[in-house]
Formats: sequence, C-alpha cells, structure tokens
Amino acid sequence: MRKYNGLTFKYLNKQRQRTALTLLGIILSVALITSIGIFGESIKHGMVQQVLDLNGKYHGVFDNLDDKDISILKKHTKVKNVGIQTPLGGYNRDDSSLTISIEGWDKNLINMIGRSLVKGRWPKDNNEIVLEGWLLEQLNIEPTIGNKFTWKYDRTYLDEEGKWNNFESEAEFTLVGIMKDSPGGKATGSSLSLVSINTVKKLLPKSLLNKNVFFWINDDYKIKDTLNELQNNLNIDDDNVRANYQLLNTLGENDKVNFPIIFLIIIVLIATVGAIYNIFHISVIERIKEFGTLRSIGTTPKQIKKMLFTEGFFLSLISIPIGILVGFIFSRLLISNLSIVNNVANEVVVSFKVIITSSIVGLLAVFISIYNPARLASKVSPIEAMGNDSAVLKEGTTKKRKWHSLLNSLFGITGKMAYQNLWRNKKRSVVTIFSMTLGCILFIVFSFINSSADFDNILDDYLHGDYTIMVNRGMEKYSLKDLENINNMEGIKEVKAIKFRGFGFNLMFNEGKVNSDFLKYYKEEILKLPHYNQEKKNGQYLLESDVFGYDDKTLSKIDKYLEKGNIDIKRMKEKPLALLINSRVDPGYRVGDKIKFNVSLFDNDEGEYIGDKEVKLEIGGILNFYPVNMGTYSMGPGIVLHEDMFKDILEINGYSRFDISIEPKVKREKIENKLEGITNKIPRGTFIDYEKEKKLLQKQKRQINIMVISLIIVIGLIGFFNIVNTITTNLIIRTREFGMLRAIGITNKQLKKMVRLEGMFYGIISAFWGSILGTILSYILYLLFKQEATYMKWSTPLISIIGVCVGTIIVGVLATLIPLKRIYSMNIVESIRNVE
Amino acid sequence: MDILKSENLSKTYGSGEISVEALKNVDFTVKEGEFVAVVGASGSGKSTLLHLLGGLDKPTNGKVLINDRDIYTLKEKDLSIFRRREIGFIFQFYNLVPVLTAKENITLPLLLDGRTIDKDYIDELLSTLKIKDRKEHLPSALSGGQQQRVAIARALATKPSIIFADEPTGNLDSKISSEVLDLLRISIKKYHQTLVMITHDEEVAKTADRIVTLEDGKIISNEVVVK
Ligand SMILES: Nc1ncnc2c1ncn2[C@@H]1O[C@H](COP(=O)(O)OP(=O)(O)OP(=O)(O)O)[C@@H](O)[C@H]1O
Ligand SMILES: [Mg+2]
Repeated sequence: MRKYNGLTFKYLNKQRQRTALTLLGIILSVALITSIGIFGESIKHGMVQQVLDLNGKYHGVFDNLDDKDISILKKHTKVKNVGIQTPLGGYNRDDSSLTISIEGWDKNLINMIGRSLVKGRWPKDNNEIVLEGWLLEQLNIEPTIGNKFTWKYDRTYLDEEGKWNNFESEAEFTLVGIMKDSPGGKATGSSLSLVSINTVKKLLPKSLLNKNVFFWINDDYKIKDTLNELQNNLNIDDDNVRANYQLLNTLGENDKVNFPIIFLIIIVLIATVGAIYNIFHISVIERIKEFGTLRSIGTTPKQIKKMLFTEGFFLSLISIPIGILVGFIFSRLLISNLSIVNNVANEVVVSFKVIITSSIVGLLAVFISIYNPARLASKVSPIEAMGNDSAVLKEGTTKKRKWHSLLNSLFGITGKMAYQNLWRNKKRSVVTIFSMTLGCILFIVFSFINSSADFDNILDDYLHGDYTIMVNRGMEKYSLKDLENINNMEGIKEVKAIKFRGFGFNLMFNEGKVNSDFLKYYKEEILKLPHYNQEKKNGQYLLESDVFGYDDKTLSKIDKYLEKGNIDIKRMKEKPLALLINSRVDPGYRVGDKIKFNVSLFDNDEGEYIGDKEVKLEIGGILNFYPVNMGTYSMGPGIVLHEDMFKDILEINGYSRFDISIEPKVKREKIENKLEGITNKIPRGTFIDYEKEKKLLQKQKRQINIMVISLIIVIGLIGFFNIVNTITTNLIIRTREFGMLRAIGITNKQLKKMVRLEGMFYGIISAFWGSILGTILSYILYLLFKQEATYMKWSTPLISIIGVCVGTIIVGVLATLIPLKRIYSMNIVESIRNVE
Repeated sequence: MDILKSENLSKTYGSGEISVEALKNVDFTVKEGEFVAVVGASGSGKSTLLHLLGGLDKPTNGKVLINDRDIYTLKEKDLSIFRRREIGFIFQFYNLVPVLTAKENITLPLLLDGRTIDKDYIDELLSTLKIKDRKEHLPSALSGGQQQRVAIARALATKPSIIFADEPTGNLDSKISSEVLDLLRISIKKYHQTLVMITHDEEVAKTADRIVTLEDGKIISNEVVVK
C-alpha cells in the first residue's frame, strides 16, 4: 500500500515538467473562479454600500405601529436597529412649487438614514427644527442658528367614516441646525425638515399621531424571512409594510433567478473543468506505457485508480491554495487599480463562501477530470501498452479521403502528416480543441455583451445631454428667445426643447371604454383622494394627465420605446395625432383610438384662466417609457404631441425644458454661467449639470470593460496553456519519430512547417466551432437579456469571429515554439534513443 | 576509390568523471560498392561510429569524408539534404511514421525532397521486399518483420550511395532475417551501393566483404573476408 503511494510521488517528481504544467493549469483555473467570486462579491458589496448611502441602512419599515409593538421590535433578538419616524405634515405655502415635509425623527433613524449636519445641532424639544441648506436659500430664510419663523402646516387623514379630511395649524419654529442637501431634492423640489418626536407630539392632536418604524435585521438572519416573520408576529397589514426593495434586490434577496449570470458562470465553470480535465487526460495518456508495465507486473486496476486519485489529491493540495491566493492577488490588483477610476467596488471583499466554493469547484474538477483517465489507465491491457508507440492509430489503414489529398496538394506531405498527427490521439485532440473552442465561445460571448451594452444608448435613456434647464411647476415658461440664445451660444452642439403641461389637461373617459384594472385604480385610488375634482364633465370621468410637446429631434429618437403603432412626425405636426405613454398608468387604449381631453386655457403672459375646451386626439403610437420626464407625474397617462400641435391645442408658446449637449472640449464654465443666467430668469427654474453622472457612467463602463477584458485574458490564458500543454506533449511523445525524420533528411524548415501546421489546424478547427457556437450562444444570451436590457442589439459578431480566427491560429502556432526549440536542440541520436 | 573515410574520429559522451570515451581516434575507410560488417561487444562503440559516419551526431574530434567532402562542415540544412539524397539509414527499431501508410513511409524521403516518385522502382522495391499487398496499411497493422522491410525499402527508395544499417535483423527471426539480408545484398549489387552494417551475427558478418571489429572504441581488427 505504502509502496505504490511512493510510486505516485516518484512519478510526480520524475515528470517535473508535466507536473508543473498540471499544477499551473489547476492554479490558473482556481484563480479564475476565485477572482470572479471576489469580483462579484466586491461589486455587490460596493453596490450595497451605494444603496445604503443613498437610501439609508434599513431593511424595511412598518407603518403605524403602537408603542407596545415598537418595544417588542426594539427588544427582538433578530432586529439590530430600530428608528422611529413621526410625520408632522407639510409646510403649507400658497405657492405650491415646493413640497416640504416636516417629520419627527429619533437619533437612531437619523443615523440609519445617514443624514448629517452642516451646521448647528439636531433638534430637541421646543419646536426646534433642522432644514436643508438649499431650502433656506429658496425660502429666503437667513441661515443663522436661532432664527425663528412661523410655518403653517397641514396634514390629510382618513377620518373614522373613511373620508379624507384636512388638519391645519401653525407654529413657530426655531432653526437649530442645517442639514446636508439630500441628492435630487432641489431638482424635484422636495425637501425634508426635521423636528424631534416630542415636538410632533405637542403639535398634533393625539388621533393624528402615528409612528413608522424603520428596522435593520441582524446580519445572521435571512432578511426576507425575518421580515415576514415579524409582520406575522406583530399582525401588521400588508399596506403598512414597506420593504427596502432596492437594498433587498442588491443583496440578492429577491426571488428572481438571474439566468444570464448563472449562464455565464456555467460557461466559466465548464471552461475551468475542461482545462483541468485536459491536463489530467494528457498526463494519463502520456503514461499509458508505464501503466501497461505496472499492469504486466500485477498491479490491479483498483490500485492504479487509487494511485491516480492520490496524485490528483496531492496536486490539488498544492495548487488550490496557490490558485486562491493568485485569484485574490489578481482581483485585488484589479480592484485597487480600478478604484482610482470608479467607486462601485472600492473594497476587496473576500468571503469564506468564495474560498470554499473555489476550493470545492477546483477539487471536484480535479476528481471529475481524473475519473475517466483513471478508468482508462486501469483498463490498459499490458500488451496494448507495450506496443512500440503509445500513440498509435486504431485503424489499420487510412481512409482515402478527398480532404487528405486536398491537404496534400495544399501543404505537401508535411501538411498531410500534420493533419494526420492531429488525430493520432483523438481524445486528446478533442479535449484540446474543446477547451480552445470554449475559449473562443467565451471571447465571442463576452465581447458581444461588452459591445451590445451600447453606452450612448444607455446615456440617452437617463441623461439627455450635458445640461438640462427645467421648470416643472407654475405657469412660467422659457421663451423661444431663450432657446435661440442658447442655440447661438458658442460650443453648443444641440438643444432639444420640450413643452409640457402637468395640469389642466384632463382625460375624459367612459366606464366602458377603458380596461377594468384602470377603472379600479381610478375609483379606488384617485376618486378617494382629498380635493380631487370628482365632478364629471359631460357625463364623463376626468383624469389629470401630463402632456408633452416634443420637437422633431426628440421625436425622431424615441423609436426604441415604441410598443405599438408608429411615429409619423409629419402627420403629428399637422394633425391631432398623439403618442400615449402607458408605463405608469394604462387605460388600455389602442392605436387608432380617438380619446377626448378637457383642456384648461390660460393667458400666456399673465397666467390668467381663460376657459376650457375639449379636444379629440387620435392615438398614433404607444410608448412604454417616458422619453423625457419632468420629475413629476400626474395621475393619468402621459401624452406626447408634436410641439406645433401642442402649441395649437394648449395655446402655450414657451418651453418647460431644454436638454443641451455641448461640443467636446469646450470651456464648460463659461457655458454654465450663461445657462444658469437663463435658468434664473424663472425663480423656480432648475439647472442640472450631468457632468458627474456622465463621468460616473463612463467610469462604470470602463470598469466593465476592464473586467471583461481581464476575464477574457484569463480564459485565453487557460486556453493557451491548454494548447501549449497538448502540443508540447504531442511533440515530446514523438521525439523518437522526429529523430528518425531528421535522420532520413527532413530539414529543420520542413519540420517547423509540419509542427506549425499542426498547431494551426488546432486553431482553425477550434475557431470554426467556437465561432459557430459562440454566435449561437451570444444570440441565446441576447434573447435572455433582451427584456431587461432593451438597448441590446444583436448582429453577427463578425469582428469577434475574425479576432477568434486570428487569435487561435496565432495561439496554435505560438504553442509550438517551445517544443520546437527543444526538438532542434536535441541531438538526433539522442532522440532516436529516446525510448521512454 | 574510397567513398567513405574517417580520420582520427573520436567521440566522448559527457564530461569530467562520468565522461565516456565511446570512440577513440578511429581511422576507417570504405571503398565504393563495398559491404563492411562492423562487429564488437555490446558497448564497444559500434552504433556511435555508425551515427557519426552518417552525420547524425557531431564528433568530439576528427572528420568524416564522404566522396572527399567533410560532412561536418556542411550547414544543418545542407547536411539534411545530403543525408536524404546520399544516405540511407536502417535502424534496429524500425522507426516508421505511424500516421503514414507503408508506401507513404517508403516514399517519404522523396516527398520531402520534392522529387517525383519513380513508380516502377518503388513497385519493384515493394515486390522484392514482399510488402506489396501491405502498402496501404499503417505501421501499426504490420508485423515486426514487415515493418523492418518497410524501413529497408525507405532506406533504398532514394537510391542512396551509402546505406548504414544498425542491426537491421536484430528483431527478426532467422528465416526472415536471411531473406532481408539477401534483399539488401541484391540491392547493393544492382545499384552499386555501399553498405556498412552492424551485426552481432557472425554468420551474417561472414557474408560481408570486410569485417571491422571494435573494442572499447577502437578498431582492433580489420579483415577482408576470404570467400
Ligand atoms: N548519450 C550517451 N551518453 C553517454 N554515454 C553514451 C551515450 N551513448 C552511448 N554511450 C556510451 O558509449 C559507449 C558506446 O555505445 P554504443 O551505443 O556505440 O555501443 P554499441 O557498440 O552500439 O553497443 P550495442 O551492441 O549494445 O548496441 C557505451 O559505453 C555507451 O554506454
Ligand atoms: Mg548499438
């Protein structure tokens, strides 16, 4: 027993080069899995961090809890942190352009949400209040601590009879601190002001007091399950539960299975297992003769199997830890170098899970890989193995194939030999070609993913240029003159002008004409709203809707959101033809339907109400996305008109939004100053600079690029390593044959040609299969991804195919360099004697 | 006329304490058309001598002249071409290319040289060596004797002026081996070739024109066989 284990080590030691190759192969493969794991974990960690920074550190909120339940939650072993929110109401101003809510928060909640002070301190009792800096500016309140001001506040509530009521009051507040602005607050015109919970208790009647509880679940427990458990224990209505879905999704705590990612991981796993399999297979085939000898002296098949498994075990023992280390160093290098340019993954997260998974996958791959070769080795009959060449063809005669004579005439006898040599050991060649093919597939698939994520398209969806000037409330609009001024500025590439009205544009509908979901939504949600105009007009229901007037440029670029119908710009210009956006509210209208709207008209200069009119619009197309939104939405669907038709129908001359793109490399500051000047003509106008967002997206894109490229490099390395391994072994086994060929006068050049052709054939065959399968797989992937990533486009990946062909041929030829050198340097006599 | 001549030929393997002097200052001449048998104990340097004479290895010292041309001054490529045109080798182990058929193996030196194949001659070789019906088979499907005959045919295919054979019949039974030897003899007579053959078999050696005996890397006797 001990003796043949000793034999294992002797083999490992004797065949140092092969052992080194085997080790290297396992190390590379394990390193690949490890670094993918670390990468994934680090990015996830970074993304979770971002969500936490943005939304706050809570898993969910239970609304309207009583003090008993709150204390249960606070003491619960599965809950780590609890923060309490008690809304006071909204600051009631005559001007409705801003939404200012006043809330009482406890210290815990302030910490959980991550609000911080710029100045002063957090509020205690006595009507102390903390405001956001930008709000002070907007309201013209002196940013001095101790400043006192009186605010009216109101609160709508459902009374006992289920009717909406309004509570109004006023109070004098003392400014004790200034908070950091919340992101996006200014753009949407919403702001949060904080008071203490006691202040709220004092200012609201008891019946209106309610406490919402934010909680963070202990890290040891499953979030979703615990959330449900808490809800059941405390007997809380579904309506009063708000999970932090963005966080849960990022944490992967949603039930959705991410097929594309799983698909990618499977491909990578196959590539890795394939590589390790290849290595072991070759190493066994190489030693067939030795196994034959062992068998002839009475070693049992079981003993041979055991020997090989021992070998695999020891190889894994050495290479898996090194592979994990290499993977760690590799991903660390990558991430820390990337963190200069990005902030998605700025920390290398190495979890126990990744290490265990990589080890298990590595070990499993080794054992799966050994299983077949071990069976093969144990089955070797002594006679077969003792034959004069371990790599003999099974068939007695060659089949006369046209293919062969073609090769013969193309490359001469050396070409034919090269091709035949490829199939001397079918299994080995198949395994090699398989692993190279996998490399090609991965290359094509990854470069498809990379190229299909069309950056400009994504940018288009979320950013509409470099700057936006927008006014989304009130009557004031920017004028045609403003537009011309911007257009005439130096360095401006394009301005898209949008007209908009978010009120006084009411969809008129009858019960029968809309779908039932919509009717239910209308009756149960909208009609119950306080102050909602419940009046019917001419016997029809009314629903406030958003209406946009797009210019030709914008209309011509929104095809990708078109679900049905078409965008006929020419007709839209002249006829009351509209596009309906159904992504938020879908009344169920179809293309060709004619719908009526009740339009309130106002004077363009004074903003005075003039009167109402009814218009009939025909639906020309249906969009599934708001190509441009104004940051606020009405209750009804969105309607898009041509700007000319918009002007005719709504009698509005001005613009509500300009999306401005600038030429590259112009002085931003100068442009920004001028644009801000134009923006500030209207007090409520907002100027948005997308530079940061754009840079962030670009960084992310670059990061994805680097990730994909490094993945391709590692996979390419494994493929390259595989083919070097195969070709080297292929050639070393034939040392004697080469000696003989040289003895009978083959020149080095001819030898080189033959060996190189052999490498090239590997490349060509792998490229052939890789291109076909890669193309198919990338298409499947496209089908899988399509729903989530609408910007994806698929076309035959010709460039990758060419890359793959050139790459594999180069790799195939390169792989012959080292063994060729060895053959040249070997003395002919020595090679002939080389009867190993 | 001397077709092959070695002057002061020496070969030392390795260096220092473990060095082996396999050949020591061997001067050796072979006339055109001669059949020389090289005999000697195992390890006496026979194979080493043959390899050096055929330009397969580099001597430590001395020269090999074939047709008065010092073969070791030739460039690697020229030496390869010289070998495939002028010299035929037959090894103890047949050393055939496993992926090529018997016929392809035989014509391989010609193909490598880009020469047109003299079909009649190859057919003649195949029939004299009695392997005509096996010519489309791969080496793995041939018996040892058949493989050796293919190797002999390959050595003869280019009609080389000198044939070096290292125990060509060492692996064959006596009946086949005498047949193979007869063929060799017929061939060299017919094409006026020179043959240098290593053998352990005294009977075989006696059929040669001359017997050279090696011992410890030196020629200790060089006798013309009296028939
Ligand atoms: N590559 C080598 N390295 C070291 N020593 C070698 C090498 N090749 C041969 N020798 C030594 O040189 C001597 C001559 O060897 P050679 O093969 O010429 O003998 P031989 O006469 O052909 O023997 P045999 O009849 O057994 O074939 C032997 O002592 C051998 O051990
Ligand atoms: Mg010998």
